Amino acid sequence: MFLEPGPGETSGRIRAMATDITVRALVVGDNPSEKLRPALQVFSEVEAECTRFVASSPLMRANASPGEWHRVPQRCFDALVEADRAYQSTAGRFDPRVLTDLVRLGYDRSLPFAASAPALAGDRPRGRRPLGPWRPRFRGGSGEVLLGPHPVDLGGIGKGLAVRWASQALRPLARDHLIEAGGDCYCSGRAPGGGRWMVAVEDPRGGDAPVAVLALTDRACTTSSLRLRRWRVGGQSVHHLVDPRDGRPGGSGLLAVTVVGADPAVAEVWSKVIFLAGRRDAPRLATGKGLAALWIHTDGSLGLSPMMGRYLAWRYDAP
Amino acid sequence: MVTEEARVATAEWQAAAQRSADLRRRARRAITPWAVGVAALVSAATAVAWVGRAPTAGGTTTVSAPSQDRALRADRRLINQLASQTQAEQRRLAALGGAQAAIPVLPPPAHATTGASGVP
Repeated sequence: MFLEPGPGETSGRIRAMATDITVRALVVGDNPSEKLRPALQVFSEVEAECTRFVASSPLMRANASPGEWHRVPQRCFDALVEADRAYQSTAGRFDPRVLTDLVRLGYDRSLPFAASAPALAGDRPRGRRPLGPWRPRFRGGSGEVLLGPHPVDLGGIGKGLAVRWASQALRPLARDHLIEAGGDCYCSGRAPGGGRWMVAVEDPRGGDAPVAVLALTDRACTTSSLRLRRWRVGGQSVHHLVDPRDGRPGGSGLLAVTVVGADPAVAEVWSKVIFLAGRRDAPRLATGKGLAALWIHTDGSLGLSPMMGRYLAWRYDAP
Repeated sequence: MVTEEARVATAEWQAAAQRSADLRRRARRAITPWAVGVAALVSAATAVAWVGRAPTAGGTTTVSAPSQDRALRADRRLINQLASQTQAEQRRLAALGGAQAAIPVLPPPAHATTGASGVP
């Protein structure tokens, strides 16, 4: 059950980054819908500059010859700087250079995931050797980047950054707002009525009933899940969450990981890293990093780190 | 006037009295350590028994040897009785829990969903 916009609340929607983006805010003054426009616009800008599905996008132009310097627009430049920061802070467990692996797995275009898991022709997926350190270079004054020998994919951080920037754009106009972008959302201030924003964690096995509900204020919430982006190639089932260590789909024993944190881009990065750690190492990693994380095993059971307890409003208890 | 016979009789009485006093004193000296020892043992045993019967901070009771077995047997009976009741209660709660699990508890309404990125 979902709460429709209440009195004084304004909502806006946009389709971008292969996702339905929704912004809900308590806006004071005239023409409230207009005040949501800058926040929604952010998603269109990030998509235009950072998509890997359009060969003429600034990111793909840089990817075409990654060993050379390229001038890119501000959003793309900032996103690459943040990707480098995430690579460093996770000791390489988040690595945008998995683009080549995704293409090798057949994910070189928007696939029709909604209908069913698409089946692609191709060889059975194989692993590869580690890529070595990633050392991109940046020239802030001119907005130029040098990616290194490998092309990169910003899919693992781009949407979180868009949510961050959209919230920053909206905050001066509406302190209390919620931005929802598929797996990633940010809850600023209070929900209508003064309580915390309630965010349902969907069941990665399907169905409308959530596995948990989180109560959040001034917190981001992101999920890495296998619910949608799965397909078959060479007769083998694969998915979009690729382990940068060997280039194979990772996350053994897990279906989804949800992370709550102060920043949506950081939370998105860690939801992927914890997912790739797999069932065996996810609890230790989340707890060791002091992250609020919830993970769902392939058998449907839930696990959560101690920090997640403070946000948990409800969880499904299996019989 | 005191006759010689009266004077000798008095002296003999005094001597007898002195011997009696000496005997009592010697007897007292001989008896007291034993009596004190016995009294100390009795007192200690009484104290141990009294202290042992008093509840300790942990709520347990220590009793002197003769009553210890009886107390332990009583405790075991009580523990077994409680364990039996607990198991029965657990079985009852498990049965209730199983019945309740069939009726899902509804989640609270939400403002948003986090899940598969790119939900169409």
